[in-house]
Amino acid sequence: MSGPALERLPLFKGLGDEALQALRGVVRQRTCKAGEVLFTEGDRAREMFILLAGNVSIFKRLPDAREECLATLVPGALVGELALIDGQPRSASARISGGEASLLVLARDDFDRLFRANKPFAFLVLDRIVVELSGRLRRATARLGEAAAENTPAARAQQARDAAMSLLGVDLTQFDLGEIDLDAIEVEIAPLEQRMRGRRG
Amino acid sequence: MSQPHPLQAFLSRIPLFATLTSEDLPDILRALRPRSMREGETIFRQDDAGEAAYVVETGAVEIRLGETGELVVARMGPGEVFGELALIDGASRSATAVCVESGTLHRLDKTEFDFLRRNLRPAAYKVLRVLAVTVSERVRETNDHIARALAPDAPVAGAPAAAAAPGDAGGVRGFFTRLAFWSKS
Repeated sequence: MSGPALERLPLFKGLGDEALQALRGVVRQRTCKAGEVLFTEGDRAREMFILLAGNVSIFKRLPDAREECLATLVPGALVGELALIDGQPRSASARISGGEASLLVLARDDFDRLFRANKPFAFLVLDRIVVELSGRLRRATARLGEAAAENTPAARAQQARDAAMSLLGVDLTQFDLGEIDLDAIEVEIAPLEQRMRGRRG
Repeated sequence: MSQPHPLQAFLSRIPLFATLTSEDLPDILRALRPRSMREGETIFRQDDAGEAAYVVETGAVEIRLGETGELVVARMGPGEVFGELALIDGASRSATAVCVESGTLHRLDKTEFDFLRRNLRPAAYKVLRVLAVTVSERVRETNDHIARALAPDAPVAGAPAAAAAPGDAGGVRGFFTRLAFWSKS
C-alpha cells in the first residue's frame, strides 16, 4: 500500500504531509457494536465521524411521531458532519446497523482549535465538507421541488425519500475506496500509550 | 502609520466578514470592487454562472423567481449580502437579482476568492466558514421539510393557517414559497 492509510479516505486525499500530521494528532478510532447508538436526534453535537467499516443507518423523527430510516451509510461516508460547522443539536439519529463498525472520530473542539490557529488541515477539511454539502443541498432541494409538483401523497413521499438520500449524499455512485486498512489507520493515528492500552471499544 | 481603509468600518458590521481581523482585511479588499448600479438593471439572472457575491453599500436589490420574475423573494439593502453561495462552488444562480433603487454594490469576485482559498489565506476560510453555517441551516430546514413530506397528515406545530389552503395537500404552496426564500443566495 502506497501512502498513509488516512490519506486514502476521500475527505483527506491530497492533504499533504503537514496537514496529515495535524490530523493524526486529533483524530481517534472507535469500534462500535451492532445496534449501538452513535447519536440521537436533539443531542448536543460534539463530533463528526467517518465510517471506515460496517454500516450506519440514519433515522428521522416524523411529525406524526414515527421514526423513519432515511438511508444506510457505507464506508467512506461522513456521519454527523454538521457538528463541525455549527454545533447545533443533531438533526437525525444514527445507529450502527448490520455488524460491528469502525469509525474515525473528530471532535468539534479540536477542529475549532485548529481552525482558529489557521491550520491548513482545518481549512481544507472545512472546504471539502462545505462544497460537498452545498452540492447535496442543491440536489435535495431539486428533489423536493419535484415532490411539490406530484399529485399524490405517495408520489410526494417517494420524492421526499429521494431528497433525503440526496441530502445524505447516498444518491451518487459510491466511489471505489479499495480496501480500507483499519489496522494501518489505527497505528497511524494512535499515540504509543494508546496502542499499548489496546483498541477502545 | 497607515490609515484604516475606508471600507473597513463598513465591512466589520457585515456578518459575512465579522470574523476577519485587520490582518485579513487586505486579502478581502483585493477581491472586492465597487460598482454602481442603476434602478431597473439586472445584476444577475437565474441560471447564470455564479461568478461573484455582492454587498450592498447604498441602494436596494430585489431577488426574484419565476420566468417573468413575478415572485419577489427578498429585498436587499445597505450592509446586506446576496449571491454569496456562489463563492462555495460557482453553482448557477437559483434566482434573479434586479436593482430597484440605484446605488453602489461591492462585488466579491469568485476567481479572486478562489485565489485566496488556494493560497490557504485565513480570510477566505473565515468567510467560507460563515457560508458553511448558512448551508448547514438550510440542510437542517430541508431535513424538516423532508420529514413533513413523509408524514403529510400530521399537524404541524406553529404553522400559520394560511400555509395549507383547502385542497393544498401537504402545504405545497407554503413549501414552494419557503423554497423560493432559500434561493435568495
